[in-house]
Amino acid sequence: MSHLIDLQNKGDGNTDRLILSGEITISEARELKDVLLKAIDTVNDLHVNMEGVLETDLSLLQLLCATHRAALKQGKRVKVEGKYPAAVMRVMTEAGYSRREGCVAEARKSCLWIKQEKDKDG
Amino acid sequence: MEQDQGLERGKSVFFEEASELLSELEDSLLELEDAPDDQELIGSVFRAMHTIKGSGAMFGFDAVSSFTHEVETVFDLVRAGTIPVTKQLIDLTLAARDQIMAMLDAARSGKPVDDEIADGITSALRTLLPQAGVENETDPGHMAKVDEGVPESSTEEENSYRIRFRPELEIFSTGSNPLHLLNELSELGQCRIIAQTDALPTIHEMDPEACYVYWDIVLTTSKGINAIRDVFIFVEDTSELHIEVIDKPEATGGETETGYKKLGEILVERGDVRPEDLAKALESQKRIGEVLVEQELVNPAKIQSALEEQKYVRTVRKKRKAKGALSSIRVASPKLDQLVNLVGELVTVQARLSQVAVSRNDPQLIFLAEEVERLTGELRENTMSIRMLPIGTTFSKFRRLVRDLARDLGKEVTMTTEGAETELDKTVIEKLNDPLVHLIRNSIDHGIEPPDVREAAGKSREGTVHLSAVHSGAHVLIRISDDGAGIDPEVIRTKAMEKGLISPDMEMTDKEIFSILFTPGFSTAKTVSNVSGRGVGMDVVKTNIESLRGTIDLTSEKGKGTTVTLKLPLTLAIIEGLLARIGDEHYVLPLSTVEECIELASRDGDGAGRRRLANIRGEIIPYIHLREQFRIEGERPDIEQIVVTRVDGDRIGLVVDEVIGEQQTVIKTMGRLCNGLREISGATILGDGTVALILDVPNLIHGAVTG
Amino acid sequence: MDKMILTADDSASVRQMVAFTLKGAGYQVIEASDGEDALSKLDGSPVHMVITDLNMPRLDGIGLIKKVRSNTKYRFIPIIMLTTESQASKKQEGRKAGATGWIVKPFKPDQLLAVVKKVLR
Repeated sequence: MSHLIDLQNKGDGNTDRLILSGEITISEARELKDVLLKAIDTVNDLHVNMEGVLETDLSLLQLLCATHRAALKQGKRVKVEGKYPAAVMRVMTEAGYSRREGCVAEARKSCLWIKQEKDKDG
Repeated sequence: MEQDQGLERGKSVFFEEASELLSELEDSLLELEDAPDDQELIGSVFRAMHTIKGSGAMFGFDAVSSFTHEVETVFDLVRAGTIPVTKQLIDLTLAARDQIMAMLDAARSGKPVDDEIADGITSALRTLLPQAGVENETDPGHMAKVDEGVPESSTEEENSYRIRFRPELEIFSTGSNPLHLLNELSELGQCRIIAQTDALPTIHEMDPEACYVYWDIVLTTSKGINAIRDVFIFVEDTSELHIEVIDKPEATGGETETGYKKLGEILVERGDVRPEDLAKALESQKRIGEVLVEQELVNPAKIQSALEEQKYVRTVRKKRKAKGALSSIRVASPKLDQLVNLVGELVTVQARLSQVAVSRNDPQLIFLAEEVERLTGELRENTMSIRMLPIGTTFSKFRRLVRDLARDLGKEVTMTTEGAETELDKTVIEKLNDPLVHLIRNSIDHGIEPPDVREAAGKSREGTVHLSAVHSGAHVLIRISDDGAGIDPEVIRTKAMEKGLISPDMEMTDKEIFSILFTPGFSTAKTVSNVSGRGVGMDVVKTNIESLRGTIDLTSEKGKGTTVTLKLPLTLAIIEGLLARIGDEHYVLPLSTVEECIELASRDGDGAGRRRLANIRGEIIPYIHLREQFRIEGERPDIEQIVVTRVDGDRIGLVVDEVIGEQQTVIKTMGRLCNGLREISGATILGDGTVALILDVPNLIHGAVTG
Repeated sequence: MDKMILTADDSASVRQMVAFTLKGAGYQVIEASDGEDALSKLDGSPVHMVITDLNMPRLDGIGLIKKVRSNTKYRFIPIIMLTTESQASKKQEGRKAGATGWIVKPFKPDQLLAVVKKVLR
């Protein structure tokens, strides 16, 4: 299975959109980290679209969390754009990632993994 | 104070559980004797011991616990196939079972217990253990553990575990996927998994191929701790793995009113918060979780995880409680007795209501009274059915008796049962125990012959005692029959003559001769054996049965065996009665003894003495004139009525002024007031509020005949 | 899609037993007679798991594990070692080289399948 990690600038120079699709697993972790790092160091807003992800694992969740933490420190924002695909939802459940509150005090409200609950509720 | 009460309640539940377990244990052991290879039975013996040991220790009965441990150790080896099931093992285990029972009784009553017996059993059990050094060498690295699902450590009990799993950072590069392990874990039972991400750095410092996340898991499984460890078998050397039991089926939520440990307690147990920090945080009036987070003593995810554990265990406990409540609930018997009393009073009031309604001739009131009558009837039947227990529990107790008696007497006896599911009032069952023990002893001691004698007589070496119970209308028939030597009527006749109970020229049927057996002081045993014939004879059995308003009947065939039949009422609390009047007095005759009611047309039978004869459709029936018997003043009416009863197979009439009719009768015991009045078994309150005495017909007739 | 498992063992009988068991359970199997053979076969169709003996000619099990782990394509796949009881130190060495788990010889087909299911899921 192939994969796609595509970083696009939204045109304003301050917002990047990262499109992930296909197989995004530990094998792709190194490549994904470099892309995330570049994005968070250059723009204020990062929108991640995972709708096309077909297979994934814990490494993706860790990478997005770590990016989010870096963003919080720099006063930047990371958010998930679009739907959480089944593969991501499954890994969130398996890894015990679904939560009501953020894991660290600063991320209480903005945690990337709370959205799932909101989606379900509303 | 509250804690003390909780402990006391726990203790009393433990006593109840333990005695149930011990009686099951006895059954299992006896069955095991017949099927020594039955792994399920061996397992159930082991589990019973294991449970008693565990909960015994929990409630501070250390002696019970450590003694039980010895037996458990032996049965663990039996389970593993190291020690075979032998007669000696069964004997010892039964003795141990009795000892545990004695220790528990002693603990309950505060009396001392004989340690020597326990020591004796313990050292005898130890001789069964294999010599040290011959233990099987099992290779620890063998994979058998993984694929066999670890049956050896699985228990039927569902425990909840708190697991913290923290893999090494490099776990991905060994080809292991931690999520696979979590999935495998969740297949063991119900579980809640919470990721802890506080070790995760920012993307700048992160090694994208490392695993920074670790997990708190709460798992409920019946598979045991080894099954949990096996999930992590390939990574346990390189990971941090803590497994703790946090909830067992015995736990009912005593820790706090809300049913589980407090948040702070969980955090400290997990090592997420230091005890001194918790103590400091507790000084503040705010919610403990918020304080800890504010002071940065713990991150929110840890709090969330602990809260999840709290919520999880509470849910598990609630479900367990609900599940237990579905199948049955325990009610103290005094509560049940009180319910029966209340229903009894209701029945009485309802009877009065019906009477009033009829006398007022008010259709509306009559309709209501009829409705109340219907509902009361249903309520009464329902209440009575709650008191019903299957007689099988009593039957199974006798298996041990039969076994031990047979062994003591050198006989071979098996016990068979039939109709164990037959239900009887709890009080009746309780009071039935002694008579049944006596009858079974008689069967084995006097009835069943020694094996050689049986063989010579062309019978199987092994004798049979058969217990059966069957419903018959408002009665239950219980039969105790054996295929032993039977009773020789001549022997009884001779002995009865020796004792001057009968005269030599008396013509008697076999049935009449057998009835002599129930005469006080009559015993045929040639020698007084250890088992029966202690002078407490069949007459006591008869009295016991009659006090239950039952009857006893014996048939026997020489050389073939003996059958004793007990006929017992289903319940003692309410009877169907026949209401009769003499002068202003009312009496109730249990309908079970009544055959028919006829007008006593003439006084042709009148004569001296209390016992007279009436001619009923050509049959001459002796009768007792109750007005005379009870010395009731006043004129006899011109037309009296005779109630024909049957007692011990004989028809005897009782003459009253008037038969009023059948009615449901709630029995009130009379207490000391009527002690010594054998003719009266109790009293009841009639619809109009007056009291009627309930006649004990067999005693009444017996008294009239002999008196 | 059936998962592909490569089994490396210089003993044809062990290899056959492994292959037979795995095929019976619905896996596809590639057999290799030693480490070198295994490496060359890994370059062909994609493999999801490796089961390897430790003592093999040319390239032994430990060597194979190290090579597999240094191949970007296979850095994270499960590798199971077939060990014997006397190889405790070898087992440790294999773990350090990146083996996922082990099966102690002799083993029964059920045990093999249990381990495969455990790591492959």
